[in-house]
Amino acid sequence: MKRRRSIAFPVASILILGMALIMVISTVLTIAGFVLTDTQGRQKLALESVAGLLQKGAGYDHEGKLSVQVNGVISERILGIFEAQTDFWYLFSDGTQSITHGTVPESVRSIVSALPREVFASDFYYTNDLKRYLGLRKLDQNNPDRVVVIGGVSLTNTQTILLALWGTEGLYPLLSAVLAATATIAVVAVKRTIATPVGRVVNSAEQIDGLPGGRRISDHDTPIELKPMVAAFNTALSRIDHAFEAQRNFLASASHELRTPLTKLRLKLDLVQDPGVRDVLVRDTARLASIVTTSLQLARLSGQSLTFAAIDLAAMTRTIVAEHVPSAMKQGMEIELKAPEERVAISGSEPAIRVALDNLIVNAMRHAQGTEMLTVEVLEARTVRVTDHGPGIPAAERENMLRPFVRGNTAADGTGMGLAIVAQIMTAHGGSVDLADAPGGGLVVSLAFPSVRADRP
Amino acid sequence: MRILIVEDDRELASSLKSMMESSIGVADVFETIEDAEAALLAFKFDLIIIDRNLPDGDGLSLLPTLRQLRPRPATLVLTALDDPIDIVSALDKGADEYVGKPFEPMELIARARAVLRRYSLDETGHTQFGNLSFDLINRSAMVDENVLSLPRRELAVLEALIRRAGRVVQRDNLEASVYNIDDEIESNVLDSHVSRLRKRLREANCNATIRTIRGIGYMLVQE
Repeated sequence: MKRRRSIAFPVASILILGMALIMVISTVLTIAGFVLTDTQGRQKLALESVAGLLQKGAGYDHEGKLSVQVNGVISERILGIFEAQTDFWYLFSDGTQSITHGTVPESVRSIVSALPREVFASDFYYTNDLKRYLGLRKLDQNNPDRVVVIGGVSLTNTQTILLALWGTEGLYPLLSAVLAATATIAVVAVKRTIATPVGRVVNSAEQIDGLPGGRRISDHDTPIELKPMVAAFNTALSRIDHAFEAQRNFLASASHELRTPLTKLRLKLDLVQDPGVRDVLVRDTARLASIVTTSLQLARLSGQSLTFAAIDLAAMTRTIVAEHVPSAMKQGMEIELKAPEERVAISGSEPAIRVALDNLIVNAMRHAQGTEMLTVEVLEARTVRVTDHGPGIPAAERENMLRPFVRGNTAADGTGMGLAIVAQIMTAHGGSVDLADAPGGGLVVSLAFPSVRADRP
Repeated sequence: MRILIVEDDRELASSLKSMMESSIGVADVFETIEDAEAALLAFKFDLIIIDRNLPDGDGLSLLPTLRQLRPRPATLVLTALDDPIDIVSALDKGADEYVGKPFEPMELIARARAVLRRYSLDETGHTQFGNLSFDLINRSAMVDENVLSLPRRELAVLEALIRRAGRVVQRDNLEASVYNIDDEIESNVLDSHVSRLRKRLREANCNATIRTIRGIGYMLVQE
C-alpha cells in the first residue's frame, strides 16, 4: 500500500513530542517539589487526592442506593493502592445514606459529626493502636450534604509522588488535556498553514498554458520553503519550452526537406512525354505530398496544446470554403455554403479548426470526384456539415475511418489520415465527428462543437 | 515583365525560371538574400518569387527592403512551412501571396498572374483579365478595343472582382468596397448590380464572367 505522506503529520508530531518533553520536565519538578515538602504536607496531598476521587465517583445505582464507582484505569489503580493498606478507611455520606470502607475509628466518627457544615475541609491527627495517622474531612463544594472522611493511610514516598502526578487534581490530567488540545490544533492549524501557500502555487501552476515561452509560476508571496520548488518547476517549464521549440524546428525542417524534392519531382514530371505515365506519376506525387502534409499536421497537433479563443464558426467556414472554390471549380464541382448571417460563437483554436475544415473539404472533393455539388452547412447549434454525393463510406467502416492510416476509397489519392486528423482536432475541442449517409447517396460528415463555456474564453 | 527568383536549390530555381519565362516574362535567379538585395537595388523587377529557407536566412527578411522600393515589386512567397502561423506571418510581413510546396505548375503561374494583376492595378492603375482591361485612373473598362461604359457602382463591383480575379470575393467585402458606411444597402441591390454587370460583359463578348458562389459571394473567372 502506498503511504500518503503529509507535511502536517511530522510537524504535529514534533509539537506533540515537545509537549511530552514538557511533561517529563514537570514530573522532575514535581519530584523536586515533593522532596522539599514536609511529611505532613505530603500525607495531606495524598488524602486530598483520594477524597477528590471518591467525591467524583459518587452516584446512585438504579435502586437509588448511594455508591462510589471510580472510573478510569489510573483512578482505580490509585484507589487500589489505598485500599491495599490495612488501616485505610473512608466514610462517604450524602446526609441520608452512607458508605464505609475499612474500620472507621470511633474517635473520628464523633469529630466528623461535631464539625459544622460551614467548614469545608479540615485535617486532623488521631491515634489508633498507638499509631499516629492523618485524617481528612472534606465536603463536596457543590453539594455540602456529601461529605467524605478519610484516614488510616501511611504511604511510601513513591506512592505519594504517583498520586501527585495522576490524582484528580494532579499534574498529568491537566497536561494531558493541554497535550490533546495542542495535538488537535497542530493537526488542523499546521495543515492549513502549509496548505494555503501550497494552494497559491498550485493555482498559479494551473493557469499555465501549453504555449512555448508561456507563463511561469510567480514566486512573489511564496514562502522561502517553497521557493526552491517553484524555481525547479519553472526550470522544468523552460526545458519543456526548449523541447517544444526543438520539435517545432524539427517539423519545419522536416517539412522543408521533404517538400523541396517533391516540388522538383513534380516539376520534372511535366517533362514526361507519355501522358498516361505522367498522369499516374503526378497523382502519386500529389498523394505523397498529401501524406507529408497530413503527417506533419498530425505531429504538430499532438505536440502542442491548443490555445482557445472566441471564434465565429460561420465567418470562419465561409472564408475557408471560399479558398477551396477555385480548385473545386477546376474539377467541375460547385461548392455551396449554407450559413446563418449571425455569429455562431464557439471557443476553439482557429489554426486547428482550419486544418480540420481544410481536410474535410479536400477529402470530400477527392472522394466525390465527378459529382457536381458539395454542400457545406453551418448550423446555429455549432455544427459544420459537409455533404458530398460520392460513393460514401459503408457504415461498418466509418469507425475505422477516424483512425490514422485507414483509407476508405483506394482509388482516390487520399492519405487516409484526413478524417483521423479531423477526429483528433474535434476531440481536443470537446466536440465530436459523425459520419452518415447523405440523402440520395454520398457522405455527410458533421463536426459538432460544444457550447461556449465560461472557463474556456 | 521582369521576375526575380530567390531560390538556393539550383534545379528548382531553373525549373521556376523556365516556367516563368514560358508564361510571364524574363527571370533572374539569385541564391542568397544578400545577392537578391543587391539585385533589387540595381534593377527594377515586377515580381519576386522568394523561397523561405535560404542559406543566409529566412526569405521573409527581404520584405522590409522590398517595401521601400518605388515601385514596389509584387511578392510571392514559396513556402515549405505549412504551419498556419508561418503563412499568416508571411502575409503580415507584406507578402502579396504565398504558394505551398509542392505546387502544381499551373497553380503557381495562375497565382503569379493574379499577384501581378493586383500589383499593376496599384502601381499603374491599369490591369488586364482575359480580354477585359480595367483602367482605374480613367475609371473605365474595355473589352478588346471597345469601351464598356459602366455606372459608378458597377465599376466599383468590377474593380473589387478584378483585384481578386480567380478567387471568391465574399459578399460582405464586396458590399464594403461598393458602398459607403452611410449608404442604405438593401438586401438584393448588390445582386442586381452584379447581374446587370454580368449582362453587359456578356453582350460585349467578354471572356471573363462573374460566377455566383452560393452562400459566399462572387468570383470573376475566365471562360
